[in-house]
Amino acid sequence: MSRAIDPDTAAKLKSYNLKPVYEEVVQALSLPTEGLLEIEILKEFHFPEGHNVLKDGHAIAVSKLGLVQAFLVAKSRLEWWRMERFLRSDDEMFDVTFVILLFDPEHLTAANTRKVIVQEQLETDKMDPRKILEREKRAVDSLLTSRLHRHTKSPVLWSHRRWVISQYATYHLPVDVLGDIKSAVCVAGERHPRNYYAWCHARFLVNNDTINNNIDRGKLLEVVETWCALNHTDISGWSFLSFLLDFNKDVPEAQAQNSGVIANVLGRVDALRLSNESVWVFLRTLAGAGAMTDEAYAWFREIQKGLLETETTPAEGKAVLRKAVEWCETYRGRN
Amino acid sequence: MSRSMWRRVQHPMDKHCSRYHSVTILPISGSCLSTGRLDLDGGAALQPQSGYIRSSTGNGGSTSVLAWDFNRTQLKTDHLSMTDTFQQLPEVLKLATSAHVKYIQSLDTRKDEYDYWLTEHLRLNGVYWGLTALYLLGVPEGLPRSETIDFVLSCQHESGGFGAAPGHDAHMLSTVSAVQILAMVDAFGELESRGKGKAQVGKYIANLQNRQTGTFAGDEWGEEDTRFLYGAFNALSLLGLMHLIDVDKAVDYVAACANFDGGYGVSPGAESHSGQIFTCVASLTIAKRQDLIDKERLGKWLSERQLANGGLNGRPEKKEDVCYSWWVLSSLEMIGKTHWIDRDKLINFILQCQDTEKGGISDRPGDMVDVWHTLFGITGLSLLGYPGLELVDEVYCLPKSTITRIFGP
Repeated sequence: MSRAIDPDTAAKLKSYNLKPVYEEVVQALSLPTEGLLEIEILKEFHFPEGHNVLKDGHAIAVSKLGLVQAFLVAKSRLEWWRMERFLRSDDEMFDVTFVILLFDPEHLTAANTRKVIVQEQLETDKMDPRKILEREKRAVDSLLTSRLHRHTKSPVLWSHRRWVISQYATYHLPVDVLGDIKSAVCVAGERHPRNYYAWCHARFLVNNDTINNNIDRGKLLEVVETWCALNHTDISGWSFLSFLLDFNKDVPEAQAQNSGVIANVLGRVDALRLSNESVWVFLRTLAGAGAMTDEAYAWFREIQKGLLETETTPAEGKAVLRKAVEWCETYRGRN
Repeated sequence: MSRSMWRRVQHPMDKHCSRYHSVTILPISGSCLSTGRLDLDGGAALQPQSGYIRSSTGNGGSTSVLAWDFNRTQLKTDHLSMTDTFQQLPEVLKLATSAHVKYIQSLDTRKDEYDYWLTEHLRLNGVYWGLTALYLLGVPEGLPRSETIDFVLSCQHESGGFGAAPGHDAHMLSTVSAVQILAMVDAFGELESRGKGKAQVGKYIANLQNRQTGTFAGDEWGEEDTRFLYGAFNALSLLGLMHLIDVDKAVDYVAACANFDGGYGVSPGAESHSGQIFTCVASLTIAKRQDLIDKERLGKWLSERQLANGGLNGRPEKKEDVCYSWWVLSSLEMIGKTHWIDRDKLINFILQCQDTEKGGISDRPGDMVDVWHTLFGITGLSLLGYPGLELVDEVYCLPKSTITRIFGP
């Protein structure tokens, strides 16, 4: 989508009549009482004359031009608020900052403004912290899980989510780690492949001692292993699976769980004749780090040999396979 | 035909263990388009056994080099005329220097474009990217110095930190860009006289260190990322204020971010990523702790980033992207393994990512240009010895001339 604006459109941006567009967009983006918004940004021709939004339940489409116009209004309201806080209510500022973040997911100041307001609300003790935080989580998750290419991977938005979760911990509210990984991380990970910050967030959730004490290691492994099977070219998913195999690996059931996962993966690689880089980097790192039993390692070598000898394995795949064995032979047993 | 051959040497005066003399044997017929990158001080003592190389510069960009052959049994002399060689390239495969200069200079004038509004959150970073590119293109006066300084100082908060633009919250990343810009235009004096002063900037950065773990947050809201640790090392060392932080603890943290696959991530146990690798390796280089790096293993991981088309990606199975010409290449440079990738192919790839008419460089051929990719395409070419470019410092991503001015030769 071109970033340049034609003179006609530029003229529309200068119009003083941006306020009705802002109101229209904000109205459409109001968070429902439960669930997430599914937001898309589309070119103008999708919309009837004079309209900037389409709404169908939780699904919202905003026109690109409408969003730019709304952003210009929101931007100036944020600037005024920073000078005179009392000019706008909290709810109005949530609207302002949501529009800004929808336009620009890396707008740190808008995200920080939300933190300031949420924190103040939490500290006044007048509202239920659970309600405040749950609403904020749904707002950021709506941006993180929608079909918005830049938002799904935005470090600013993922950091905002991290902060919201850390407030859950501060106020002793439970966090459904498995649920959050499924509903936020896996979805964003699918919308934006190799989503570095999404999977960093998953590690944060799992590692966070104050929220993770109910974590079901086996179930989590199952969810992530399935995700990796459906997205086998995604190195971030595989990398997180490696992380999970290492997580709490000293608990009694861990060894059996790990063996199960590795066997499933090897079985799938064998059956589907997978020779792509992400899978084999995952396998060679596990093998090299000594995370495979001797039996699993022997099977790994057998599969590799078989794929190398198969004519239909692409040349790039064969290079990947050779490198994999070379690499783990070098590092297997080393620190 | 002899292939590109690099010899990593260590300059006896090198403070950062990062400078090297690299030489390529280039057949005079010019069909092998390898280039060498030479630090033209001409004064290094020749120590054949340890691989030192002396270079001397002729006029018009031609150089004579003494180079090793593979068996180190013989010194060869080749007369290289890099300028001549590159003049034989077809039009499309040359660097469109003046177009890129014009593109960068025009960026601030595009206030009507959607893109301008979309990027306000990184305006100060954008100035750093554009200015560094201009310096490397040999046009340091390309952006007006005093207006640049005015803009930078207008982004500074009481805390000493800088936001991305006036009215934006302070953050480590924009603070680092501010320091880098002021370093380049030699304006630390103005920071003292008209800004909040170096000490205040140092205090802002130092306060972001997590004294338990050693890493750094980006701002008061606590996101931790090795990018911010590197930013702190970069800015504080330029300001001469490293003593304000616990360097050893930070170094320990970086070491803990090393993964079994050889790479580094955003925090211990995180996925290996070329960008994070750069921040970790550069941090360890600034702290003179490269001894903590498993260079073989890391070099292997980095060398696997090169794809068939010559471009580099950031992680396995990702697409090539010109910006990895910086993150991957500078990392390889710092650990002395640049010869582990095919440099000719990378040069060709970067050149194909240009918009030779309107200027600018994009992530891959045919895509829209932006100033980020313009900078990192140019820094990649500079690291690869492309003629006509100023040298870039692989640790600081600033012109070598700036680093020499601040730290001495």
